[in-house]
Amino acid sequence: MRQEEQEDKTIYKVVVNHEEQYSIWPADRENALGWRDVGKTGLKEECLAYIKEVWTDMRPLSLRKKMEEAARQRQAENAQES
Amino acid sequence: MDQLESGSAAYTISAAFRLTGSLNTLALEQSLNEIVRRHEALRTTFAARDGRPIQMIAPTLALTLTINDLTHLPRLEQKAKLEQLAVEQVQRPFNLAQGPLLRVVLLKLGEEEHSLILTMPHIVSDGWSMGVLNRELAALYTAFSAGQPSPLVELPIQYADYVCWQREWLQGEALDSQLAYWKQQLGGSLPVLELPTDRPRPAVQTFRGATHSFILPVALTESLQALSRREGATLFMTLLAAFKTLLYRYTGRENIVVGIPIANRNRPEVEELIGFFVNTLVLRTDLAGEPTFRELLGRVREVTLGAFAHQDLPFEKLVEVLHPERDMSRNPLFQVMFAFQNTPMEPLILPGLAVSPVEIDSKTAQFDLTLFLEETGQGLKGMVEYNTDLFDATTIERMVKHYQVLLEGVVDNPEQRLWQLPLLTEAERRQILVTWNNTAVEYPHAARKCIHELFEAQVERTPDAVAVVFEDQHVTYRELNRRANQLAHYLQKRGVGPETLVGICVERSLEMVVGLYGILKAGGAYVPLDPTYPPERLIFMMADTQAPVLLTQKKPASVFTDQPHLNRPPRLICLDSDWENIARHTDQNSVSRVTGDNLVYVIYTSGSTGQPKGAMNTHAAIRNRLLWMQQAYCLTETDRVMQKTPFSFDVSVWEFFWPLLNGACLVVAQPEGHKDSAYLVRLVIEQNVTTMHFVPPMLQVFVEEQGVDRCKSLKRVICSGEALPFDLQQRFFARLGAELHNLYGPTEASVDVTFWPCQRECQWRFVPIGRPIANIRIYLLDRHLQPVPVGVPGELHIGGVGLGRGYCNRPELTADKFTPHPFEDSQAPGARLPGAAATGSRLYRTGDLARYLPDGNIEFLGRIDHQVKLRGFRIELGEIEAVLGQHPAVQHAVMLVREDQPGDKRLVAYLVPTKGQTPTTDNLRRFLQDKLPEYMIPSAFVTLLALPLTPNGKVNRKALPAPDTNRPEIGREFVAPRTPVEEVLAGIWAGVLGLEQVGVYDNFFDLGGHSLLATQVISRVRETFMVELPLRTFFEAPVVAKLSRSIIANEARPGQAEKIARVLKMVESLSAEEAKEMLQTKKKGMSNEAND
Repeated sequence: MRQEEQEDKTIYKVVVNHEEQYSIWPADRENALGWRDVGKTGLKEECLAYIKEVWTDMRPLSLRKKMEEAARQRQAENAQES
Repeated sequence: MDQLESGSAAYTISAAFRLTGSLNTLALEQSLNEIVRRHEALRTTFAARDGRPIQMIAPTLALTLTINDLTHLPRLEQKAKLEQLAVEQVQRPFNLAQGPLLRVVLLKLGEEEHSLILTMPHIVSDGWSMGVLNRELAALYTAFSAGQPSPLVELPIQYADYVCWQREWLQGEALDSQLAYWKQQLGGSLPVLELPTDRPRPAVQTFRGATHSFILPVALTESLQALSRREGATLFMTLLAAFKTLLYRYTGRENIVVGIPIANRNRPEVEELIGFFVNTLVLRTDLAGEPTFRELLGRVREVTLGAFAHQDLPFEKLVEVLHPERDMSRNPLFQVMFAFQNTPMEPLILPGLAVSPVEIDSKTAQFDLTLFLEETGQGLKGMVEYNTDLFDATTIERMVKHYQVLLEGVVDNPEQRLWQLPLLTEAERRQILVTWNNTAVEYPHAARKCIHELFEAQVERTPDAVAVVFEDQHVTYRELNRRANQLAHYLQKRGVGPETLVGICVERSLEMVVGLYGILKAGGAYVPLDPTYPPERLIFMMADTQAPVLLTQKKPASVFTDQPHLNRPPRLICLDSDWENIARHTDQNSVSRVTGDNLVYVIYTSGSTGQPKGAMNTHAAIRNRLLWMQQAYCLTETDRVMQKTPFSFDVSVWEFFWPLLNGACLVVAQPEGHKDSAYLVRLVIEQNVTTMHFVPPMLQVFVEEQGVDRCKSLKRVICSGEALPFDLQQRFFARLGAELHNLYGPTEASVDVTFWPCQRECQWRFVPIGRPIANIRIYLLDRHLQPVPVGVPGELHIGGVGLGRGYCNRPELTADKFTPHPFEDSQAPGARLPGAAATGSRLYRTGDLARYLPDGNIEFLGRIDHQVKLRGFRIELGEIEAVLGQHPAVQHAVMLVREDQPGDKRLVAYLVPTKGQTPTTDNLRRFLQDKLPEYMIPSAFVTLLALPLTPNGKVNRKALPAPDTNRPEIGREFVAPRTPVEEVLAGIWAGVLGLEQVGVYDNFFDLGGHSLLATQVISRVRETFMVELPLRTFFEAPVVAKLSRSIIANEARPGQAEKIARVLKMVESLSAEEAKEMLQTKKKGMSNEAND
C-alpha cells in the first residue's frame, strides 16, 4: 500500500489504556479492546499536542505503582534502621 | 497490430467441439463453404501496396475439409493430441494474404467420435461472430445432411459496407463529440494499475497466460441482481464496481481504470454478420473520499452510461489520440479487463450428433488480467485469464475468493465503506492473524530476570572461562563480574538506580563492556554516545535524556565540560582515570530493585523533524530477544562472538549480552575496526571467531576481501540493518561455508522481530525476512489498519513482548507511532504471550512495507516515507533537510539517495540558495559535520535555481538531476598529480568517487568519499601496487599526496611502485594492438628470465 503524500484529514480521538499509555484512534471507529476515550477529538496534530501536555510520565502505570511501593518500603526500612 | 505482435495468439478466435454420433463430413464441408460464401469477411485478404495495407475480397473461395485420423491412438493420447492441436490453432497466426480466413480442423477419434476446431483471425471476427458461425453451421448442416437447400436468407449488407458506413458517420461533429468525451474522461496522466505481482514484470510484455474458472452461487447472484435493481443499476455495473473495489484493495490506488469489451452491434442489420465489431471502452473511476459501496455504484453507473453513449470511437483511435507514453511492459491505457456476458453464446446444435464444447486453454493472456463473467441459469460463471509471467495460479485463486467475499459483503451491507468491506475468507484471516503469529514460548528459567541477573547466573556456571578478549587483554567471567560490580556500587552511591539514565561515551574497549554491565547492575539504563559523533549531537542527547551521570574516558570527556546547553551538567566518571576510586568498592553482586518493566537502554535514531529521537527499551523486551536468539542459534561455551557494531546501534546489544549470558567468549574489535574488512578477516582467523554480524553493504566488502576463504572458524553470520540482496547471499555461499541468517527489526522493538535462515537452494530470487521470533506478532495492514491478503503489500506492524516503551520525552511521537492493538480479540485463548496483558496493548507502526509469501514468510519491500537505509544506517532524510535548512545561505534543501551506478548508493543534497548567496560544498559540509554523524553527510551537493515540482506542487524527486562529475568546490586549489604514483592513485580515487579529476591535496571525504569507498580504494591500491595499506593509514591522511608516500614507504622493493605506475601510464597510452604486442614481448622476456 503506497501511501501517497497526502494531508491526513481524519478526525482522531485521544485514547488511553490501563497502563495510562496514550495513543490516537480514528474518531468514528470503535476502540480496540482495553482502550478508552479521554474525551479529546480533533485533527492528528491537535490530538498529539494534547497528549504532549497530559502524558507527563511515560512509565506504565503498574511500574509507577511498583516503584512508589518500593520507595515507601525503603523509607520504612530506613526509619526502622534509624 | 499483427505485424507488431506477429505470432501473438491474442488475436485469433477459436472454438472446439466434440461431436458424438454419425457425422456427415460432406454436409459439414458444404456448410462451411456456404458460410464462407455468405460472409465476405471470410473471403477478405490483406496485401501491402506501397507499404500501406489494402483489402481485397475474393469472389469465391473454396475450403477443403481434411480429416485428421487419430483412431489409431489410445484414448489418452487422443485427448492430449486434441488439446495440443487446439492450442496450436489458437496460437498460429493467420496468413492474411491468403483466404479463406476460417481455419477448420476435423479430427477423427473413432467411427462415431469427432472433434471440430474452428478458428478465425480477430481482424475479421469477434466473440459474437463465433455465435453467428455456430448458428449458421447448425442450420446449414441440418438442411444439407437432409439433402435440402440452405434455409438462410441472403445477408442484406456485408462487413465492408458497415466499415464504410462507420467511416463516413464518424466524422466532423460526431467524431468531435466522442473525442471530447474521452479526452475529458481519460486526459491528463492516466494511472497505471500496479497489481502486486508474484514475479518482477518483464521489460517487454509477454502474452503467456493461463485461466482459472469458477462459479458464483445462485443465491449470491440473485442477491446481486436484487441489489442492482434497488440501486437502478445493472448487474454488470454492480459486478464491475465490486471488481474495482477489489483492485483498489489490492493496490491502494484511488483511481482505477478498467477496460471492457462491448459487442457494438446496435443495429439489426449487423447482428447477422461475421466481422470485427467489438470495441473496447476504458472506464476510469475515482474512488477517493472513502465512498460506501452504494456511492461507488452510483459513480460506476455514471461512468458506464457515459461510456456507452460514446462507444463508437474505436479503441485504436483512442490510443492514437491520447498518445500515452509507450511502455513496452504494459498494455496502453488499461492493464486489466472486465468482460461480462449476459446472454450466453449460441450453442452448436447438429442433428444426430451430441455436441459438447471443448475448453481451449490458449495459454495466452492479452492483458495482465481479464475477469470474464457470464450469467447462466446456475449462477454466474466466471473465468480469469492472467499473465503467467506475472501471477501464480494460487494468487489468482485467492483473488477470485476475495472477489466472492467482497460480493457477499456488498450484498450483506452496501452502506459499508470500501475499506470496511470484508476481503479475506475467515480461514485466511485466521491463518494470517492467528496461525502465523502463534509464537508464544515460555522461558521459565529466565522468567522475571533482568539481563545482568542472567549474566550473574552464567558467572556462577563458568567463572573461569574467558568472557572478553580485547587486543591483548583477556578477562574471565568472574573478573568481568567483579569489575562491573565495583562500578555498580560506585554508581549506586551516586544515585543510579531503576529508571536512571546513564550516558556512556567511550571508545570500543574493555572499559566499554565493564561500563555497560556496571550500569545495568546498578539498576540503571545506558545511553550510548558514540565519541566520533559531533559534539553538538552528543550534547543534544545528554540534554534530551537529562542523564545525571556520564561514564567516559579522559579523551572524550572534554566535550561535556563547560557546556552551557546542559542546564544540569552530568556528573562525569572517567572509566580510566577514576578507576582507582571505583575499584575501592565491593566486588560482590549489587542489589537493585530493577524489574523487567524498567528501562535497560535508550538508543537514538534519526528523526524526521531534524532531531534524533531516543528509543526506550526494557529488560523484559530485550530479554525475550536474547533468549529467543539462544534458542534459535544455540551458542555454546566454545563459541566466540565478535563485537564490532558501534554501540550506538542496537545490533550491538545482542553482541554484548547474548554471548555472556551463555558462556561464550566476546571478541571485541578495535575502535574503527568495523570499517576495515582486511582487519576483520585477520581478527576472525586469529581469534577463531564463530559468530558475527554484518550490515549487507559491509558484508559485500567482507566477502570480496582477500583471505575470506580462510575464515574457517566462522559458523554463522547474522545479517540485518537493510535488505539483503539475493546476489550477495549467493556470493556469500560461494565464498564461505558458514550459515547466513537474515534478521529484521527496528530499534523501537528490541533489535529484531523476524528471522530467516538463508538457504543455498532457494525457490525465490530475493531473500525474505522470514517469520516473527518468539512472542512477537507481525501484522501487515493497509492504511485503514485492515490486514492485507497474501501477496499484497501492507505496512508492517509489530506487537508482542519486544515493544519498547516509546521515545524518550516524546509522548506525542510515541502516541503517533505506537497505536492501539485492534486484533487482540482474534487470538486463541491458549496463544496468549507470557507476561503480556490480555487487552490494551499496542502495535508499533514501522513505516516499512512488506507482504506475505503464501507459506507465511514475509518479503520486505521498502519504505512508506523518506526514511532510508544507507550502509546499514537508518536515516530520516527529513533530519538532514532540516539541519541543512538552518544554514544561512540555504533557502530550500531536499535530500535523495541515488543509485546512479548499480550497487553504489549515495546521499545527495539538492539546495536552492538564499538570494545572492553561493554556498560552497566545503562550507556546507563543514556546517553539517558539526551537527550530524559521518554517515549522514551527503556525498554531493547540487545547487539549483529552483526545485523541480510535480503538477500538484510537490517536489518532484524523480526530476532531480544526477550530480555532475566535476570536482566539487571544496575551497582548496586544484593541484594536479606530480609523479606517476600520484597520477595512478588519483585515477583510482576518481574512479571510486565517480569524478573526472582529483587534486593531490584534496581530502577524500570532502570529495564525497565514505568509509566503504575508502575500503575500495585500499583494495585497488593492493591490486595495483601490491602494497598492503591498513585502512587506518588511509583515515589518518586521506589525501593523494600523503597516501602516495605511504605506498612508496610500504613497497616490497625500492622503486617498485614507481615502476608499476610508469608501466600503467604507458599501457594506457597504447592502442589495443600495441599493448598486445608489448605484452607478448614481455611474456617472452619473462620466460627467458625464468630459463636463466
